[in-house]
Amino acid sequence: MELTESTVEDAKSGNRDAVGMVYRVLAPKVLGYLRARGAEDPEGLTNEVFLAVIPRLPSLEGGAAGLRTLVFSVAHARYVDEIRRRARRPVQTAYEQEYDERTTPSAEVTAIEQNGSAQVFGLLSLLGEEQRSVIGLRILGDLSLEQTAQVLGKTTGAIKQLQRRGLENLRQLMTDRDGR
Amino acid sequence: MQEGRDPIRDMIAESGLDADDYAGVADALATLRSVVPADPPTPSAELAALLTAGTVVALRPRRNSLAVASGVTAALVLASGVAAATNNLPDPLQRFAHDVSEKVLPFEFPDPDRHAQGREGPVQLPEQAKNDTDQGKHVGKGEGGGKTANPGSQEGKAPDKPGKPDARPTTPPTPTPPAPDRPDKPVQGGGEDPGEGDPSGPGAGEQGDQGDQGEDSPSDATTKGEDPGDGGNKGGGKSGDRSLRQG
Repeated sequence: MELTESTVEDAKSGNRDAVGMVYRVLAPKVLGYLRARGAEDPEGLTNEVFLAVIPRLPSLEGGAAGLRTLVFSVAHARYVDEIRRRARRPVQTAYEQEYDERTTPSAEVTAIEQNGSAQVFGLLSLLGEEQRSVIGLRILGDLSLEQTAQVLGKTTGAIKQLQRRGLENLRQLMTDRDGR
Repeated sequence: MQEGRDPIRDMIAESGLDADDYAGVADALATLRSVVPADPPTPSAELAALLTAGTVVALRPRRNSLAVASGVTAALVLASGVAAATNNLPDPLQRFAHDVSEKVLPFEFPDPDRHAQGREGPVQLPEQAKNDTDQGKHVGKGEGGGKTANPGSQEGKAPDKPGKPDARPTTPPTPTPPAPDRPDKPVQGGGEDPGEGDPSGPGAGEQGDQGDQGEDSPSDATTKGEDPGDGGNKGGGKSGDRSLRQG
């Protein structure tokens, strides 16, 4: 499923079906990005993203590409807000054995392991924050270099450099892991 | 990035890296895409309502126009205030601003009437002087050249107070009794005229200068006192000449 320019135009003019299509196409990608980044409540954050984006549709510029950039800009900002909130007020909960990942893996970790992506998540977590953001937005958000630069507020050259270093680091990490 | 293209291969190519060397990395990153679900998450009640209602038209443009209108209004008020403070508004507006500021504000804008008087004071002076001269002629016709001491006094007085036209009398001065009636009046101001006023003039006789002394009202005497020498001197000289011509 891909967003067409006419669908975006219809969504801008308030067409209910077109707005629903925008949500159906982009919400899974946003959810995947937030999951990959380790958001605490990726579904809730995804809802917040679209609650912020849909009222802004009438003033949207740039067609489908502009909409994709806007959606992931809001998603990334919400994720950064959550990280800062967590840093300010760490949540303290009572110990519950069933959620102790040292003995029992969580449902999410189990699902990821089943998909065979646990190792990649582990490797990605070793990258720098900006390198992870670039790789996540490019692979999960299907954003171009320019769109990623807009979302992160950097130049295209800086994004190019970040993704190159990220790929090089990933390769090095994989080589080190296989060498053990 | 459109679907149908491989963003991972694109990334590797854009970075100038060898695709073969990074084939393992590309395969590992491809597994990342498995975290993207096929279906969107269930929308919350609020989001569901928004999706059902469609796009809500934003009020932003209206807020912008309001902000622009407020800014223009503030600029106009400021400009008007500055113009009023510097007395640059048209007279009716300036008068209105003065009235309003007088009643409402803790300060007052300039009154255009006062400013106009202040500006036109020196311009009106010759007319006033002419009136006084006419009066002097009128009175002096039957009473001798000495009556025309007033013009002389005005000539001497005018440059001293150019910005205070209000100080000038608006009603004709009350004719004073002729000099001979009050010979013993103390000499003030222009009283020095007899000695200084054109003694060589053919009609500058004592009578004219005496008239000067005698005709001066107390108020005139006071003004003369401000500039006794010139005013009296000119008045004396002219009065003598005029009385000759008239005679």
